[in-house]
Amino acid sequence: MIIGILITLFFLAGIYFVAVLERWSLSGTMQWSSPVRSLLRLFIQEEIKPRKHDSIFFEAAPVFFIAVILLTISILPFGEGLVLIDLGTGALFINAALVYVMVCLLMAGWSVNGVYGMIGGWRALAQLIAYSMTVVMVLTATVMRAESMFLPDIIESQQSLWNILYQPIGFILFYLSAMAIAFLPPFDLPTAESELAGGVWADFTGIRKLLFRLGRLALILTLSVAVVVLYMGGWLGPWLPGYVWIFLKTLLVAASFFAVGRFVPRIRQDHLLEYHWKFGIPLALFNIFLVGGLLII
Amino acid sequence: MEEKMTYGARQGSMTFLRKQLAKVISKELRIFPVPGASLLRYYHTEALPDTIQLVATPKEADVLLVMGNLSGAMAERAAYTYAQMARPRVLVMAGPDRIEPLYPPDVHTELKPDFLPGIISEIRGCLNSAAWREYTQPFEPEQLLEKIKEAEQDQGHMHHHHDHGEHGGHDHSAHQHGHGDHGGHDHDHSHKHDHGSHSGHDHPHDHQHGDHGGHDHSAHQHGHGDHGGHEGHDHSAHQHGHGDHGGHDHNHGHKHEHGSHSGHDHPHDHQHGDHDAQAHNHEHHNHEEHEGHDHSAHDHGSHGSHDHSGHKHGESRHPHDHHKEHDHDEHCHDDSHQQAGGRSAHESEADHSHEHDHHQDHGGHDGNDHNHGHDPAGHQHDHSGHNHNHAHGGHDHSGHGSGFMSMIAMTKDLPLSPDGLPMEWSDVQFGPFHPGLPGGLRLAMKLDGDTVAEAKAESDFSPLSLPTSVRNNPLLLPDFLEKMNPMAAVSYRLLAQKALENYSGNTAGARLTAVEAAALEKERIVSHLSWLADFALLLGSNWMRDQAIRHFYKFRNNTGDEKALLKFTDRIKNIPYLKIKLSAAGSPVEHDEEHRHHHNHGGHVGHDHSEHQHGHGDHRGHDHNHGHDHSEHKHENHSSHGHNYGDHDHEEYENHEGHDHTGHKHDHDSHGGHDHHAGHDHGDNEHHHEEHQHGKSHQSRSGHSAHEPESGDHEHHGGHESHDHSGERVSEPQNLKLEDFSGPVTRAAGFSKDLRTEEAVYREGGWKPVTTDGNNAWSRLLVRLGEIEQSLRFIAHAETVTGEEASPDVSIPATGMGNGSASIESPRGELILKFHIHEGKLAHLKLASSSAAMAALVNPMTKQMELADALTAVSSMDILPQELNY
Repeated sequence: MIIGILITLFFLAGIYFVAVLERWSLSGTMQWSSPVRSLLRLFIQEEIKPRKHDSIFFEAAPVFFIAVILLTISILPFGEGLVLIDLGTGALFINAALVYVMVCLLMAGWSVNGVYGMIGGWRALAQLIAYSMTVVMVLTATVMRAESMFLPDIIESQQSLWNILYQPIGFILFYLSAMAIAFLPPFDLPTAESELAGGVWADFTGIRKLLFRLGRLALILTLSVAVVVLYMGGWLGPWLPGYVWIFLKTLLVAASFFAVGRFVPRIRQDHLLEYHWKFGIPLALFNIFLVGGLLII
Repeated sequence: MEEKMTYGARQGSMTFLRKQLAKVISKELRIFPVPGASLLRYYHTEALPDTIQLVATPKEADVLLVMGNLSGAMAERAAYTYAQMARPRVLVMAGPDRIEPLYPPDVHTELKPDFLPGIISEIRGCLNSAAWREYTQPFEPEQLLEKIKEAEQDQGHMHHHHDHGEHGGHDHSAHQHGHGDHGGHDHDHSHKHDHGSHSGHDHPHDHQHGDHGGHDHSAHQHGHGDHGGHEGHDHSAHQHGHGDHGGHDHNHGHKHEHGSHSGHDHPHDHQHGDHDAQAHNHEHHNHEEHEGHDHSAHDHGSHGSHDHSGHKHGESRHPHDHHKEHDHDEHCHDDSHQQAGGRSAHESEADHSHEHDHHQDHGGHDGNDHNHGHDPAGHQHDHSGHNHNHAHGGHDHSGHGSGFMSMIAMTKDLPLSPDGLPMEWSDVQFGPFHPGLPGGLRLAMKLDGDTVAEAKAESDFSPLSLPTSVRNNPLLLPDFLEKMNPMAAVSYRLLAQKALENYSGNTAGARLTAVEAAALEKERIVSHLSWLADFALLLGSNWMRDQAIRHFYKFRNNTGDEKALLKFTDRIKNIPYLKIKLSAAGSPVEHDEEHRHHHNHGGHVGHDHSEHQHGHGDHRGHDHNHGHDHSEHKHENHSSHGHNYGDHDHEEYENHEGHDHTGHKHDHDSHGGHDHHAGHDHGDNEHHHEEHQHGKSHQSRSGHSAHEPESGDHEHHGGHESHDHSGERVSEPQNLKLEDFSGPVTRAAGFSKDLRTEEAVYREGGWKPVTTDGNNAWSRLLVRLGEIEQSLRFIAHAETVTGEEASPDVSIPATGMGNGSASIESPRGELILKFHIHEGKLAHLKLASSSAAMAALVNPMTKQMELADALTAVSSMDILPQELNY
C-alpha cells in the first residue's frame, strides 16, 4: 500500500516536472504554474468530435494510449523495492508494451478522418516500428550483462560500472530510440505542430486531448526512468536514498531530452528511417557482439 | 458583457467552481492569430509576455485574433477557424468591428501598434465572467452551413479521396470522407471531385445514383487501361454504356479533380485501364502509344463551371444524377471515349474536367472491334464518331463479391505514383493560416501519400485597390503603401517616394541616399529575422525561433546588439543536422523533367495537343525540328517526326504521328537561338511564329534587348526573329525562372541580380550581393544570414557617409501628365512601381514584386518532395502573400 502511494507520488511529481520541462523547451522559460493551467484548461474545454469520425477508435485511442503507458510504468522500479510489478520479463515487457503506443497513434490518426491525422499516423507507424527494433536489440545487451530480465537485476549488474560506460553504443541507441518512441523533438514527426498542426491528435479536444497529453508526459517519464534503470545505475548512488537518485537521474534524462529537442531541428522522415535501418540496426548488433565479447573476457 | 460570448461560451450556469476554473485558465491565453503570427509581431514593439501563447491550431486556442480587413475568402476561412475552436472561445478583432461571415467580436480594438496588451484584461474578463452562459447560440453562418451540407451529401460514397481544405484554419467541414454505407450498394466510384478553390464551381459531389435500390455494383469495372495502339481516338463523345447496373460495381475511377486547376496543363492525364471484356475500369491513365488522340481544347484552367450533363454511364443511361448538376461548361476535354455497342460505351458530350493522368500503355486496342472512326493509315485527327466497340461479352463479377478486398481492385482506379504504384492521392490545403507558412498564403497540394504530386501557392488577400484619396492626391501614395504593407513598410515608402521623384523629373533624387539605404538595410535585418522566426518554427527549432524574435524586437527598437546577432547567425550555421536537412529541400524540379512527364506518348499517331501548354524554358540554341504538320489538324504520316526541344527531353515522343498542336501554348522562355522553321508547316493553324512581339525593355541574358519583364514569358529569347505569339498565352507567370527576378531566393541559386548594385550609395561602399550556390533551403538561409551580416556592416558604413540626408520634396502639378517609376531591392526581392499621373491624379498604377514570381515556382520547387520538405521549401522562399495580388 505504502509502496503504491509512494510510486504514485513519484509518478505525479515526475509528470509535473516533465510538463514544466516541456514548457521550457517550447518557450525557453520555466513556468511552474503552466502545467496546472494547461490541465484545467483541457478539463473544461468543449469536446469536439470531427465529422464522420471513427467513433470506436476515436474514443478508444486516448484511453488505450494512457493505459499502455501505465502498464509500462508499473514494471519500472522507482527505488529499491519500489516497483508495482516485478516482472520476470520486465526488460522485454518495456518494448512489448511500448509497441502499442504506435497502435494508439495510428488509431488516433485514423479515427479523426482527416489527412493530417492520417499522415501523422503513418509517420508514427514507420517511426515506431523502426525504433522498437533497436530498443529490443540494445535491451538484449543489458540483459546479457545482468543475465536476467528482472529490471532490479539489471540495476544491480551496474554496481561496478554503469551501462552508460560499459556499453555506450547501446546507451546512445536506446537514448535516441526512446526520444523517437516518445516522438519528442526532433523526432516529433507524428505530431509536428508546425507541419501537421498536431498531427495524430490535432482534432482532439477536451478530456480526450488531456488523456493524450498526460499519456505523452507519462511516456516521457517512463522512457526516462527506463534509461536510468538500464544505463545509469538506477537507484545506485552515494549519500542519498535510492529513490531520490532515480528521481534526480530521471529528471536529468528528461531535461536532456527536451534540451536536444529545443536546439536540433526536426529530423526528416526519410533520414529518420534511413539512419535507423542503415546505421542503428547494425550498430545495435555490433553492440551485442561487443558486450558479449566483454562478458567473455 | 451580457451580449458577449454568445457564440463563444459553453452552455451552463457560471457556478463558483467554474468561475474559479475560468479565472485560472484565463491567466494564460492561447491565441490563434489571423492572418498570421508575423503580422502580429510587426504590430508590436516588444515580445508578448509568457502568459500569452501563439498556438498552431485553432483547437488549441482560446482566442481567435483577427487583424485588419480580411478579404472575402480569408474571412470565410476565419469563420471556419472560429467554428473549429472549442468553447470557451473569445473572438477578438483588431481593426474592423465586423467582418462577415464572422459575428460581432467579443472584444474589439483599433489596429495600431502594441494593441494587444491593452485588451488582454478585457479578453480575460470575457472568460472570467462568461466562460459558461445560460444562453448561448451556435455559430452557424450561412457559408458554414453550406459547407456542412455539401459534406453531408458526400456521405455514403467511397470517394477514396480526401479534400482537406484550409489547414491551419483546419476546415474539415467539407471533407469528402464518404465512408458511409450506401444502403446495400457498393458504389466504389472513386470519383475524385476535388473542388478546391473553384469559386464558380458547381460541384455538389453527390453521386446520386438513383434507383439503385438493392443493386450490387461491386464488380462492374470499367477498365480502359492499357490501350496500346489506339489510333485516332475521339474522346469527345465518351459513352459509358453501363445501363442497368444490377449487380455491377461502378468502380469508375473517374477523377473529377476540379481543384485549383486554373491554368493547368493536363496534357496526358488519361489512364485507360484494360479494355478487356470483363472489367471496365474507367480510369484514364497512361496513354502511351496512342494514335490519333484528340486533346483539342484540353484546358483545365479556370473552371468556372462544369457540365457533366452529357456524361452517360450506361447503355440505358446510368442514373448518375450528379452529372446533371455538374457544370463543366468551361472545361475542354475531348478525351472521352465513344464506345457504342459495348458495355463501356462512354459518352461525354459535354466537356469534362476529368483528370486523365499519364497516357500510357494503350497498346492492343486494335482488333477488339474498335471502330475508331478514323483512317489509321492516314492517321487523321478527326476523331468524331470514334467508336469503341469493345464487344464486352458480359461482365464477370464473380471475382468481386462483397467482402472480398482485392488489392488489385482496390487500387485499380487510383492514380499512379512515379514509382508505378497506384496510390490514393489527397487534396490538401495548407493555409491561409498555417503556422509554418506566411499568413494569407494558401498552398493547395495534391499528396501522393505524403509526397507532393502537385502544389500551387495562392494568396487570399484582396487585390490592391487604391482609395480615391490616393488617386486624387498621389503624394499620399508613400503613406498608403507603407500602411498597406507593414511587413515591408520602409521598402514600400521608399519605392513610392522614388517613383514620385522620378515623375517630378528629379532623377538624382530617385537614387537612394545613405540614410534611406540604411533604413532599408535595417528593414532587411528585421525582415530576415522575422522570416527566420517563422522558418525556425517550421523546422522545429524553438531555440532559433526565440532568439530570432528576441533580436527582431531589439533591432526594430534600435536597441539591437550587433555582436550578439552575429554570434547568433554563426551558431545557426553550426546547428547540428540543419545543413543536411535543408540541403535536400527546395531545389526545383527541372523544367525539362517536368515536361518529360507530360510527354510520355510513345507510339501516338494523330495526336492533337490543342491548347496544351508546353512550357519550354531554357531552349538556348536548339532547333525545333518538330516535323509537325500544323495545318488544319491534318497530320498524315508523321511517323518520323522528332521533337528536338533542346534542353527538353522529348525523346519519349517516339512514333508520334500526325500531331495537332492547335492552340498549343509554347511558352518559349529563354530560347537562345531557335529555329522554329525546320520541318514546321504552320498552315492555317494559329501557331504563327512571325513578328515576335516581345514588348519593351527586355531584360535579356542572351540576345534580346528591350524586353519588358511584364511582357511575359518571352524574355531571354536570344536569336528569335519575327515571332508572333499573339493568340498564344505567353504571359504565364508559371514560366518565370529564378534569373527573371531578384531576391534572396535568386541569389541563393547563384544569380547575383540585385537592384542595389545600381545604387551609387551601395557601389561606393564596395557593396556586392551575397550569393551562394545550391538553390535549396539551406542556401537561402545562408544568403539571408549573410545579408544580415552585410546589412549590419553597411549601416555602420552609412553612418560615416556625409551628404544629403533625405530626399527632396516632391510636388505634383495639377496639370499635365507623365509617368513615374522606381524599383527597389526589398528584403524579399525587387519591387517595381510604375504609375501614370494625369492632371495631378493617379490614372494608372502597377506594382510588381518577386513574391509573385516565387509563388509561380512553388510547384517545381516542391514536386515529388515529402510534405515536410515541401513546406520547408515554400517557407524558405519568404513569399509575401499580399504581393501576389498586385
